[in-house]
Amino acid sequence: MIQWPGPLGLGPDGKRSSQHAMDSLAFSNTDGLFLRTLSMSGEEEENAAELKIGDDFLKAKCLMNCEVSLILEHKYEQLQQMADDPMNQVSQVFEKSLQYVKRFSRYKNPDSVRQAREILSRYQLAEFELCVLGNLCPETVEEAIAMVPSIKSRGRALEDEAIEKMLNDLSLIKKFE
Amino acid sequence: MFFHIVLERNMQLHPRHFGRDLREKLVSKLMKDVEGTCSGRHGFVVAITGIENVGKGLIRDGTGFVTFPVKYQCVVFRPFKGEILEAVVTMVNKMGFFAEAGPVQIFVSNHLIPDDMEFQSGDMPNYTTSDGSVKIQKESEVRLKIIGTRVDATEIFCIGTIKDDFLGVISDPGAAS
Repeated sequence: MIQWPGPLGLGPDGKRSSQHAMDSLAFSNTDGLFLRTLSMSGEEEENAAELKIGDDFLKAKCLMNCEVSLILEHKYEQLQQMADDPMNQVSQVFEKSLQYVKRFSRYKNPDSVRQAREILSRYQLAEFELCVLGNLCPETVEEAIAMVPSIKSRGRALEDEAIEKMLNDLSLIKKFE
Repeated sequence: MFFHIVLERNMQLHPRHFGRDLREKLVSKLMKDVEGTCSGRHGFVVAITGIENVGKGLIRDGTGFVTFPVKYQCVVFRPFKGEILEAVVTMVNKMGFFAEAGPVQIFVSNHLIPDDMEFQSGDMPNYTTSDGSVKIQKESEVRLKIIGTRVDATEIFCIGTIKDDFLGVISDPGAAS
């Protein structure tokens, strides 16, 4: 029998995961996250409060609910043009996510969504932290720290005044929307 | 939290689809296959937003099927332990309540509801403070913290708490009407 050099033996998952592990090791070696990464690739405790969300996700682009809402509604409109009954076309996961992000979007129009991300990105936040703040829009510094404890514990601790300014700017977008 | 990430999948295509619109066939099959699925590692795949690259196809021995490695961008929803998010209450009983955040179900046991809230049975079961000022019932919006996740092949299930600072009811449907 002829053996094709094809992807026969390569379980897609098996290959992918080992590849990812290699990537994250190479990256983290430089910034002192080596031990954490090693244990994350195994089944170690994740904890979003300490920003332990695994390297794939830490480096990935996070989306705020309002951004997801724009993306999903756009996709839904596209489907609508192709079929009469788009709700039949989409998965339950899509439907539930769309309902959820519509309900919990802080900013409705695309301009304010962009502004919100622009303001938050001035403060050297991790993607995940940025999106938690954008989603929950805390009103006080104390509340912001309770929502995202890692902003105070990651070496580059933000000053209270800076946090206050950030929250203020955010609430202004909302006011002028 | 929602993320925008790049995933890879080996797609098998029947030879009858080979032709001008091979690529479209591949993409529509990919959407059908992965949208709405869930894995413990990447969470729920909500929507595919773009194709990064379709690799070289390899003919499989004996069948004539061809396998294409496809890299695609997608929106995923992945809950993390320690994450704080908003959710809608879907069911209340004496054990606690269930809430939904997009595609994921979260259970909050009555041990993790503040002690001053009592369960009230009736046709609209709810948890209420002794002075009646705060009420959790179906359709209430709550802010909660995820403290545990259970992953099986096709679903992620979470345990949450509202017994912490700045957590609890955001709005209750009874007050609005």
